[in-house]
Amino acid sequence: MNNDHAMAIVCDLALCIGREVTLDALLTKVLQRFLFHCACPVGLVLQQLPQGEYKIIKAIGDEQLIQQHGQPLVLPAWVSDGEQCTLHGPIPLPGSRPYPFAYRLRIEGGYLMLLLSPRAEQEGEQLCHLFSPILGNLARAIQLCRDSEQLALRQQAELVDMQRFNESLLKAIPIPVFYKDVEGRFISCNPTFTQITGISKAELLGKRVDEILPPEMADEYSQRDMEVLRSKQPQYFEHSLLDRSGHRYQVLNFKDLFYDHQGKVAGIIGALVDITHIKESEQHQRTLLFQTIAALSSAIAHKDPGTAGHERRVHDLALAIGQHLQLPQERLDGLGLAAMVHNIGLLQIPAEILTRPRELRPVEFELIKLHPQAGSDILQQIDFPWPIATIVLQHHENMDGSGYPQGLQSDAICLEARIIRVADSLAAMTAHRPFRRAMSLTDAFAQLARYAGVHYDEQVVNACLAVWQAGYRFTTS
Amino acid sequence: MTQPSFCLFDTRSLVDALLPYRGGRLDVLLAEQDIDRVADLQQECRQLAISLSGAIFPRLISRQGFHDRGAWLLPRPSSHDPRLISLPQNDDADRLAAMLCEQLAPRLAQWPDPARPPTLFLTFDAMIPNIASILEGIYLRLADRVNYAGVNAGSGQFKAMPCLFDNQTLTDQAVICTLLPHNSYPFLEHGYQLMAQPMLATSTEGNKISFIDWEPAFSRYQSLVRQQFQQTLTQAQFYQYGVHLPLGLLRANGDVIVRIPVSVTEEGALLCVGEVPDHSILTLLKAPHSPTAHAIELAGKLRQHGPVDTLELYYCAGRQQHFGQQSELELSTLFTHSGARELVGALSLGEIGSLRAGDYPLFHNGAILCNGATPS
Repeated sequence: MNNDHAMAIVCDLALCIGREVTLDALLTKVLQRFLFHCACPVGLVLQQLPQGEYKIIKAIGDEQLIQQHGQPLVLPAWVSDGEQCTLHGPIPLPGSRPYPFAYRLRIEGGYLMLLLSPRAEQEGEQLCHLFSPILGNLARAIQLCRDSEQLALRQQAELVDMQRFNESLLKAIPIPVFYKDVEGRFISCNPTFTQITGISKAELLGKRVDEILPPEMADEYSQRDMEVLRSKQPQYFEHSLLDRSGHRYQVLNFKDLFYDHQGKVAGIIGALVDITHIKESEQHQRTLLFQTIAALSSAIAHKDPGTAGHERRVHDLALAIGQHLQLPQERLDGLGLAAMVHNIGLLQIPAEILTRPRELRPVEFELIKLHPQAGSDILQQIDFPWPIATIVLQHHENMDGSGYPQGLQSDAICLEARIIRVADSLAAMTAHRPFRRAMSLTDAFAQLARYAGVHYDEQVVNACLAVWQAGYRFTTS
Repeated sequence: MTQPSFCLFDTRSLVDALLPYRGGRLDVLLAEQDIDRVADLQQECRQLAISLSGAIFPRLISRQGFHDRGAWLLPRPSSHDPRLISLPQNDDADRLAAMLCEQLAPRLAQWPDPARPPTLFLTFDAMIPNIASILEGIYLRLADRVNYAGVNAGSGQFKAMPCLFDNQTLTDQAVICTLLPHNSYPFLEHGYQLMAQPMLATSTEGNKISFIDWEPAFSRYQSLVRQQFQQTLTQAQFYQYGVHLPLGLLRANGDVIVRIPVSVTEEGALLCVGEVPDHSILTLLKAPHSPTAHAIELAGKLRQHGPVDTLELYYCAGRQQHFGQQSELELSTLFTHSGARELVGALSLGEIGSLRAGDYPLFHNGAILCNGATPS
């Protein structure tokens, strides 16, 4: 063999050392390559133990030696020590197969490589010279693999700790929690989710929302998911669900993104907060409020029996107009309440002025004009979730600023007050009063039309006309 | 047990040829030109309750030399039990080796005497690109629980072709695994030697060498042929020169593993039967000069095991191309010196075994594989 060939073999062995990152793969590849070059059928890598014994950390080619992996092994000094790199004579190893010859390659760090042959080799020493430059690299590669594996083990342990902590956390959370990938397939859920919905983790895994919810609900879910993914902002929405017993309950569904180690979006995590009791309580409070307001309203009727039923008529018409204008339910609720109590300030006006069967004198009218402020003052003491006091304060304001008490104009007057202004006027004009006869509906609407944009909001007047044309009528009671 | 027989399909009825093997087990070596006889063979064997296992080779070998047509009918003992196993194309070599070992495990567990292990004889479809790696994977798992031998079957033109069959199936991308009894002793010899300076396969993938010494592989090979033969090599002539000037993987003990390049891709990469590991150091090899020296040596090794009755032999198609007419002389020398009474065999497209008994098993090209057996 010439120098070029020798260099080629050294390069071949050196290249195979650099390719592996785990110890077992490294030792497998290196042993295979050494066996290839030496034509030996069996190879061992042994690691020295602190007590001086060895253990086999890799064996190829001999089933009985492979079975001894990890077992301590006492080697005689002539095998483990000495400078010779070839061993002649039966090597005392476990198993029944005799090996009269071996290459013994010492690797820094307490490792020993034995390449075993059933035949005595002729060129042993020459081959050892070829191998010696490789062994230093191999020692460093082994150390790197060990370090890398220890690091990987630590990271794995940390990962397991983190996973267990997360599992405990999810288990401890008393509300249903789920998470899914960016494609919308469920990955997992916590035990509370299973407890409430009756869907196990295994059943949930890989499913999409349309496989576990009815189509209309699934659509909304999917749209919310898309919105979270698009905006990268948390989303929450209310909806109802059926529990495992088929009972419908209200939930507040929180959704947010979670991210992988590279900071890329990995999926959506969601939590379902049961708000059924809160909703029921809210509804109860709202009912109480409506009943209280209704009681206040009846107090006005007692003060001026001649206008009995006015508040109800204004309430109904204002709501009809509000619905026509497509106000949300939350705002309609406030509008209805304000309409019921818009005249509550009249309680402060002497009853004889209210019931006087003639047209009011200016000084009396000035007293009447105080009722929006008086009503607002009364209502401000109640913490409504709607601006009831403001609506009541503004319900006699005109679009051109000629109204009272503040002389506000157009958009400075809240929409609910502008609606009540129209509904109140129509109800008043079409009702009998001690000092005048009821105006016909035609005349009343003519009046509204005439002052549309002046006293009344034109859009509200048009809405009022539209609901009337659609068949709306005042109740007779 | 009945003796092997050579069947020429046009001179004798297939049923008559198969009748002596009724109810038994039969291995068939079928010449490529008679591939359309597989269906008849399968049908007749089913009717005669013969367990069939077969492979298609470019040509067959007998005492009379090479045969383009015909089939060797080789009766086997019932313990032979060959298995035809498909190898999914997308699986890597380690996974395929694991799968094969898993399928062999129950039979090995039942092997009567582990101290006298069987020879695992593997007949691969030659178009499988990672046979050497599969063999390494099998050796990692089975170690010395078996001895190793094998050949590649397929087309002499190295085209994809179903080449392995049993009673029902004719398939490609597969291997037939057979456990031969302990008294079988395969020997392998090639006689190729180092010639030129080493070269580095700078880009390889499985059995494809894309670059040698950072030059496109075919271009580099052309320049080597120009140096040796003063000829400009074309792609069409490629295999004719490849058999005389194969590439080799150098071993530290001085041996070489032959890789005969068999074709050139459109990109100028060389395709071999058997892998060339990444960044391998390749050398140009000198094909053996004497058609008798290695035959005599091999026959001597065979005789050391005692008298040979039937010599089963697989002779690399590339070696036959190299020696031309003289390959018959190599065969007859081997046969005569072995003292065998019968010679059966085929041209193979790759050979598995060890150059010395008990060596690390490897996948070779350009070799003669003799599968002898002492009387059991």
